[in-house]
Amino acid sequence: MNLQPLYDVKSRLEQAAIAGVGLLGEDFRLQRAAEALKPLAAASPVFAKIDGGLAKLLTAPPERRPGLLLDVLALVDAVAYTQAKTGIDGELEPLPAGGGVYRQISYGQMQPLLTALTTTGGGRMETVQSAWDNHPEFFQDYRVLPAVVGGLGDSYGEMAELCATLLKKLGPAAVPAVKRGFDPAGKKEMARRVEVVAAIQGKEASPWLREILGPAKKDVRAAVITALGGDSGNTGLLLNLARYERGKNLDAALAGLALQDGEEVAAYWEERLQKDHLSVKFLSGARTEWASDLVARGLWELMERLLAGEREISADIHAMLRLWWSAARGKSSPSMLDLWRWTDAKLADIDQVRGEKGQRLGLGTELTALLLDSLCQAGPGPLCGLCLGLWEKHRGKARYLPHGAVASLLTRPAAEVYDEFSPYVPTSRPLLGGAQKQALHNAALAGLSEARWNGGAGRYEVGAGWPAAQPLDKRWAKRLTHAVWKTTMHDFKMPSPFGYGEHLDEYDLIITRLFDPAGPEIRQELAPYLRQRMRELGNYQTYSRWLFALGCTPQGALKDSMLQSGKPAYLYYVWGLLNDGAKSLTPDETARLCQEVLDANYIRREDTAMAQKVLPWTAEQLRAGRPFPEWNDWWNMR
Amino acid sequence: MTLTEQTILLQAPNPAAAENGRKLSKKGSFSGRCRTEDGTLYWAQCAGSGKTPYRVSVDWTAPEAPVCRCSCPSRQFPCKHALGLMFEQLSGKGFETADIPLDIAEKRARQAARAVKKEAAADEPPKPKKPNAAARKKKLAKQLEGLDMAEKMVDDLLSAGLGALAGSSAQTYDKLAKDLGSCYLTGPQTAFTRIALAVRTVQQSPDQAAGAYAEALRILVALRSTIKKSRAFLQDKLEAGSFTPEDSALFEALGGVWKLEDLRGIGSFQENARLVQLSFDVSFDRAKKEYVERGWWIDLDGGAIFQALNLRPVKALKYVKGEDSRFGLLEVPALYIYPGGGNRRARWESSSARPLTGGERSALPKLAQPDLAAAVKLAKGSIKNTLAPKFLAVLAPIGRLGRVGEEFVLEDPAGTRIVLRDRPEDGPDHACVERLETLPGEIPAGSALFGLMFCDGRDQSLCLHPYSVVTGAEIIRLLY
Repeated sequence: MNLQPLYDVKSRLEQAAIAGVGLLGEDFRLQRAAEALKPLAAASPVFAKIDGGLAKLLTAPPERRPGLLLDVLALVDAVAYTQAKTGIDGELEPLPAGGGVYRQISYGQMQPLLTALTTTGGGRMETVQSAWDNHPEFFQDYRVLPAVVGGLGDSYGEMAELCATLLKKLGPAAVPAVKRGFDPAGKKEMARRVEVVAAIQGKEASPWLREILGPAKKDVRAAVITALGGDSGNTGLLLNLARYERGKNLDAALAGLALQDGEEVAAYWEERLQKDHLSVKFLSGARTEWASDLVARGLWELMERLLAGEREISADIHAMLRLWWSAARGKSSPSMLDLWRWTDAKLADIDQVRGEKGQRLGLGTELTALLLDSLCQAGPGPLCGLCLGLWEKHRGKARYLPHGAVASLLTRPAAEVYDEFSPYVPTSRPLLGGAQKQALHNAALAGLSEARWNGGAGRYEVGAGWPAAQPLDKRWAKRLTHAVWKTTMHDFKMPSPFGYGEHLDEYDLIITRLFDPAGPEIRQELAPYLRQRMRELGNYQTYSRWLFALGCTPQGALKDSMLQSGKPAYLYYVWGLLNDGAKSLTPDETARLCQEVLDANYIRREDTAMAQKVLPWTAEQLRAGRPFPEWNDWWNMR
Repeated sequence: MTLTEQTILLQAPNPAAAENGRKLSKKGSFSGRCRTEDGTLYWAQCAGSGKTPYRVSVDWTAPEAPVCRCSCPSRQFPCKHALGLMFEQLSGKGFETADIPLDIAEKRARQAARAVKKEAAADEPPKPKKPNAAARKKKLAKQLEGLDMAEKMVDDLLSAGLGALAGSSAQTYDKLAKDLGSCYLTGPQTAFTRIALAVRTVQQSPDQAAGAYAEALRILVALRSTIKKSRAFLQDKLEAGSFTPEDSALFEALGGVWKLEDLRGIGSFQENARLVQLSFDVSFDRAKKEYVERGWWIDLDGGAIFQALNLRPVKALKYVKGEDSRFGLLEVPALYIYPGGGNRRARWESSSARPLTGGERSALPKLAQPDLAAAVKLAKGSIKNTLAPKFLAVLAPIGRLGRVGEEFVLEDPAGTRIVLRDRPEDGPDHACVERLETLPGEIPAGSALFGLMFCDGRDQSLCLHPYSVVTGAEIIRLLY
C-alpha cells in the first residue's frame, strides 16, 4: 500500500499547527492532501476514519479547529506508527569480530573519564591521569579506547600528548583503534596517530606507513616520513623521498635517512653536504661510522680553511661551525678521533681565531668543552681512550682534566680514579700557586659534575646515563666536604632545585647529587657539612631538604640559617618545609623543628601571630601521634 | 560480604565524592584505624580542614545499607571521609581490633530498637487511612478547572500557530503553565514548558526546526489526549465520590506522584522479584531541570522489562544520591510497579545484591522475544498509544549483526531484520550504534540484543537503538 498520501496529510496538518488553524480554511495544500487520501479511505476503515476527521476539521468553525486538528493528528500518528516499515533489503555483510575488550565499568567510573576525554574545560587531565593510576584496565575497554584515540585531537595540546602517552603504554592492543577511521589527509590528530602506531609497532608499522604515505598530506605526511625513518628497510624509499619532498617533509626524510646505514646512504649524504652544509644538523643523532667520517672530514676541511685564511670569521661562519661541531657530538670513528688529535695539535692556532670585529671567540675552549660533551654522549669506547691519551699528554694542566676524570670514571676502578684525581681537590690551602691549583680544582669538579647517583636505577651514572665502571669511591665524600675551595668553573650562583628563590653554589649542587644518600659513611660526612653550609649561607629551604633526603634533620642549624637568610619567612613556606620534613623524620624530630622555627622568631610580620598559635599546636599534635596537619588546618586557626 | 570498589561507588552520592574519598585514603589522611572483632564496624580518625580530626565510622551490620557516621559538617551523605574509610578497608590497610566505642554502641542500640519497633508495626495490619474527602473533592474540582484552562491554552496556541510562540508570548505561556501547577496539574504544566523549550530551539537553531516542531506537536497531541481522558476520569471520580488513587496511567500524566503504599493499595506490586540490570543511562530533562538516571531491569522470572528512575533535580543535586550501573542480581522482596503500559516504572524499598550464577546468566538471553516480528508488534502496539512514550525497550534475539550499505542491521534467527540506529532524541551522549563494530569477539549463537525500539520520523521506519548485547555468559553494555 502506498502510504505517501497519509504522510502528506500528516505533514500538512503539522504545517497547519505551526502556521495557526485560523488559516486552515485557505489551506489548499491540506485540502489537496485530504483528496489524495480518499482512495485509501475507500480501502480501509482506519483511513476512512482519518478522512472523516479531516472532513470535520476542514468544515469546522474556527474555535473547534484546534481540538479537531489534534484529534486527527493523533489518529494519523497512530496509523503512521503501526504502518512504519521495518527491516531493510540487501546483502547483509556480517560485522567482523571486533578485537576490543569489554570491562565491567559502571557509569560513575566511566562517565567522568569519557567526559574528560571528549569535552573541554579545566581539570580534565587530572581526571584522566587519576583514572589511569587507579584503573589502567579501563583504557582497554572498547567504549573508552576510541575516546582516548579521539583525545589525540584535543585542542589542549597537553591533553593530546597525555592521550598519546597512554596509548603507547597500552601497546599493541591500542593499534586497531588508532588505525580505525584514520584519515591520511587529516590534521594534527592523525599525525599523532601515526606517531603512536610507529612507537608501538616499530618496524612492523612499515607496511601500513608505506600504504598511507601516498594519500598522506601536510602534518600527517611529515609524521609518516619521520616514522618510516625508524626502519632500516625503508632506506630506498627515504632516499627517493629526499629527492622530491620539500619543507617539513624533506626535513623528516633527512632525519630518517641520517639514522640509516649503507653505502648508498653515505653517498647520498656526501653529495647532500656538499650542496647544503646546513643539513649536517640532521646527522647529530647519527651514530654510524660513515656519518662520523663525513662530519669529521667536513669539519677538518672547514677548520683547515679557517686556519689557512685570515683567522677572522663572521657570525654566520661561526654559527655554521657550531652546527658542524654539534653534529660531531658523540661520534667516535677513527677519522673523528684523528680530527680531535689534529685539533689538539692546532689548539694554539685555533685560539687565535677572532670574530669580524676582532674580538676573541675562545674557539679552543669551546672545542674542549665539545669534546667533553661528546665523550659524555658516547660513553665507554674509543673516545675514552682518546681523552685519556690527551689527559696523559697534558697531565697537570686543567684543559683535559675533566675529560680524563670522566673517561676514568667510565673505564677505571673507583679507587684508581680517586687516587689519581683527588689530589686536584686539596683539603689544605696551598702555600704557592693557589690560583693555578684552584683552576685544577675547578676542572676536577667539572669532571665530577658529570657523575651522579641515580636512585631509580640504583647505580652511579656518568654523562648521558652511562653506568660508571665502579661505584664512586666513598673517600670522595670526605675529600669534597673538606675541600679548601667550594668553587667550580662557573663563578655564578645556580637556582635551587627546590625553588623558593634560593640561589646556590654549584659546588654543593654537584656534591649533593654525586652520592648515594643511603650510605652511612656518606651521611656521616655530608650531614654536618650541609648543616654548616646552611648556617653560613642561609639557604635553609634547600639545605633542609637535602638533609631530609639523607634522613637527617636540620635541627640546630635551622634557626641560625633562617636568621642568616636575611628575609623573614612566609609561614606557608615554613609549613611546606616542615610538612616535607615530617615525611622522613620522626614526629618528635619534626616537633622539635617546629619549636626551632618558633625560637627563630623570624616569620614575616603578617604571619607572626598565626605562627605563635600553629607551631606549638602542631608540635603537640605530632607528639600525640597525629599526622602532620594540612595547610588548611593552620589557616583555619589564624 | 566482600567489599568491592563497586560497593563503595554505589554508596557514594556522586562519583566526585567517591574520588575525593579515594584521594583521602591515598594521601594517608586516616589514623587510629580500628575495627570490631566481628568486622561489622570500622572506625578511624581522618584529618580534615578542622583543627581536630573527624571521627568517622562505617557500620556494616546490614552490608547492603552500611551506616556511615562522621563528625564532619558535610551535608553530603555519606561524606568523603566515610567513603575514604571504605577505601582504606578496600586497600587492605591494617585495622586494630578494639572494643566498639561507647557512643556508636549507643547509636546501634537505638537503631536496633527502632528496627524492632518498625518490624512490630509491619506485622500489625495497617490502620485504614481516613481520606479527607472534602479536601480531595476540592482538589478534583480544582484539577477539572485547570483542565479547562489547559484546553484553552492549547486552543489559543494552535489558533495563533506554534510558529507565533516566541519572545514575550513564550514567556506568557511559561507563566500560564505555572498556574496549572497551582491546579495540581504538574503533568500538563511540564508539557507546556516542553513546548516552549521546543519552540525556543527552533528560534535558536533554525536548522533543527523540523525535529523541534515535531516534538512540540507530539507533546500537544499527548496533552490533548490527557485533557480529554482526564476530564472524563476526574468527573467520574467526582461523581462516584471515589478519591483514592486508581490503577490508571492518567494519575501520573496529570502530575500525580505514586507512593509505595498507594501502589500496594492498588495491588500493583510483585513479591520476591529477581532483577538484572540490562543497561543504565542518564539524561537531563530541560523542562523539569532534573537529571533522570534510568536503569533498565529485566525480571528474571517473568521476562518483563522495567525502568527504575532516579530523579535528581538540579536544585537538590547535592542531596539526592546518584544511582549507578549494577552488574549483579538484585533480589527484591517487594517490587512496586507503576500503572501503565510498555516498560512500566518500578521501585523498591530494599534489596540485596549478589553475583549472577551461571544458570541465571544463561537464562537471560532466553528471555528475549521469540522473534523480531513479535518485538515489532509489541513496540507498535505500545508506541501508537498517544499517552505512551514513543519507544519501547525490548530484548530481541540475535541471528546476525551486520551492515547493509551504511546501515547497521539486526537479523533474527528467522531472517527478519530491523535497522539499528541511535535515537535522535537521546542526543550524542547516547550514541552507541558505531560501537557494534568493535564489540569484543564473536557474538555467540543464542544471544539477544537489548535496546529501544522507536519510529524514526525521518523515513517513517521502525528502528532499534541498541543498548546492550546479552549473551549466555555476560551482558556487554554499549552504554553504561
